Amino acid sequence: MWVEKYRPKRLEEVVNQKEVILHVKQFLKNPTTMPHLIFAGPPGTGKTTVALCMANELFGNRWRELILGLNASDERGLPMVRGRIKTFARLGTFGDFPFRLVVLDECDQITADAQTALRRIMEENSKTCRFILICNYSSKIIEPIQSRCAIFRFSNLDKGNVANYLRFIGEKEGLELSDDGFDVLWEFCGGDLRRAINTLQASAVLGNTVTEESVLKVVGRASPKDVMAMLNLAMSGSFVEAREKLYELMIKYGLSGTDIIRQIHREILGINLPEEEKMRLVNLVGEYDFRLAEGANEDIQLSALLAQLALSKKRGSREQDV
Amino acid sequence: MSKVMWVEKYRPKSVSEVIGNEKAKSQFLNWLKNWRIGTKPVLLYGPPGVGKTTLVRVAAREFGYAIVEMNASDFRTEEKVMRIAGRAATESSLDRFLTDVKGSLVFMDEVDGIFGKEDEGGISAILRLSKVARAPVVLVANNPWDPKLRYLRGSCQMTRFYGIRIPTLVSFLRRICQAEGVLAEEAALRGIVEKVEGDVRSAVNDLQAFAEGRKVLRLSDIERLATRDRQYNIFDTLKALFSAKTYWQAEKALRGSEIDHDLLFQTIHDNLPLQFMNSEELAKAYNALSWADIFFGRVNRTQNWGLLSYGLEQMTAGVALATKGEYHYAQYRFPPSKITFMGQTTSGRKLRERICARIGSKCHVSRRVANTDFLPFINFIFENNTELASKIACWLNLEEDLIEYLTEAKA
Repeated sequence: MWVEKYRPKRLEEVVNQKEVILHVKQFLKNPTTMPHLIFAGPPGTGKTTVALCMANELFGNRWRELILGLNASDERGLPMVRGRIKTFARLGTFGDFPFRLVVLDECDQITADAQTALRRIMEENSKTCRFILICNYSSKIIEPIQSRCAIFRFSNLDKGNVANYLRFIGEKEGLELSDDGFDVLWEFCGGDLRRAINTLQASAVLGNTVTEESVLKVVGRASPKDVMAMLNLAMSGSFVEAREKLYELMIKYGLSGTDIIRQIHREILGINLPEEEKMRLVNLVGEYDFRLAEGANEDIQLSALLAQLALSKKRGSREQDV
Repeated sequence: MSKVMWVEKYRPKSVSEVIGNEKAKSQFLNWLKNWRIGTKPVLLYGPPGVGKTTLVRVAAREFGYAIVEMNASDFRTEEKVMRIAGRAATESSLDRFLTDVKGSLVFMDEVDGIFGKEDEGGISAILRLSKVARAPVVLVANNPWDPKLRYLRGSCQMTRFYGIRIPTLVSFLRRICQAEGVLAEEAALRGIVEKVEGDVRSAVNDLQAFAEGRKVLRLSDIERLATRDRQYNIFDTLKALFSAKTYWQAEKALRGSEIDHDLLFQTIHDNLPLQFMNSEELAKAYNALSWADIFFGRVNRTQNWGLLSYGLEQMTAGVALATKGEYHYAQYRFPPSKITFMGQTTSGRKLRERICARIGSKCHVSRRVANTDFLPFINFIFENNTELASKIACWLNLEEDLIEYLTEAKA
């Protein structure tokens, strides 16, 4: 996958994020002064990449022994913290290496209990072990941890950054990316470079010139249009079928409730409805999104939302009849 | 598909059509025939669904009585019992002169359902009533040994009903099948009957659930009945719940159910669109379920079990009261279709998870991100370029079955 092939190996190669790189380099000059770090920012902006580059520069070819990379959204509870992290942090270091490094990705997902346990481990082993906590929102990290870390915010990549990097890959792969092709790609991926590279690679499968058409094919395949189909079913009164679609999205395709509700939000704005009705729906979607965030049952809440949306279409069409 | 419950459609129209329990039947009919002022009330008791209520109804009609009925969901305070039943029993009804009926018959169903403070005095009112009654008083109970009923037992004629015997039930079901134009295997009917413990109502409900809309009913069709205990109970619970017209009735439906709350919640959720065809009612009912879910979540988070009842009330009464219309029968589904669906897709999901784990460790992302941000693109590559696809498969170290899944996952 190009995402890995073209992942920067050295800090200089990282796209943008100049502020962060500058500071990190300072730390690397005198590693013992480096505090624990929090990398916060939107997806696909280079957080994991910077952490991996640092490991590379600190440990060279011994990095595999000295770094523990864990993905918090896969195993996010206390057992992970008490088990693997604690054991690794206590190993101590060897040779000239100043410390071991724990890189915890998607820390937004770690439960509060586990974070508290984590905080203690960070403190007890701070001489021989450093932590890099990666997350989208630093506010999801408990304050006692935040106050022990230097927080770095990764900014969104702009259109020029993404274009340059994609063209760079294009050159290496003997690929041409047309301007309109890039525009569609930018619209779909925004500043998420990971998504952009994946889209580029999939589009390139269709030919050496990546055009609007080929990108649209990939985008059409990769964005769950089933969500739209589900909405249409619900609004035309086929609730049972709409709900079956929902199960399919959640169970067969493994989408989370939040993934689906965000997609609904996007789709609603495109539906042919009176403007104020759209606003009512946006409110509704927001409310159910909040309920999900509170930890409610996804399948119940989304079904309830669908039932509400079905109602709205009725009202909307009645207004149009008048 | 018809919306008539077979239980109603095939409810006996005359005493002779009531099946089984010959001894109890003749005891009751004799009591009614010989009734005069001062005769003890009769207490019919026995398991649910064997025809006690039906017998009283058809017998009253045949003997020319008008039924004054009360059941457990009414408030049975003494005052209320006296007001409704008392008048019918002690005053000679004007109806008697205006119509052909001889008079009234006071009928109290589910007397063992008298619970708690609300019903205080109900029992003693029934007792006093029966002493002065100038109309026959018929009481029905499932469990006459309830301590609350001890005074009643002494002052009533006790008539016991048993579960209907298997051959009797089978031939009853066969008659229904003939009337509905369903060709049923003997073994299939036996299969249904053997699991209902002599309960006609459940047998007919189960039969409808399996046979409605079919031409032929085979033993294999009813294999799902394996989970019968829960199943027949859950159908009854759903019916009681969805047909509830008051908060108390809905409450009672929940209390009378042995189904685990979580499973019941899922089942209500699953059957909601089958019951509420009107989209406004559906939205209202779902709103109640959504709130129930939120309360359950709060209970889980705070471990404050006192909050549980708010959730349960939304789940039952909140749902039931979403409609003001008449209850109509729906062909309920169990187990919930989501569980069935999950069962059908288990193997696919497992493969998918394994692929995502592979992507995750190679590309430094979580399985969730692998699923949303990688898999769709990899799918696209597998569909369009086998050469690159096989390179990626090598790179990710995918086994045969995973590659097969990706190649075939056209969806």
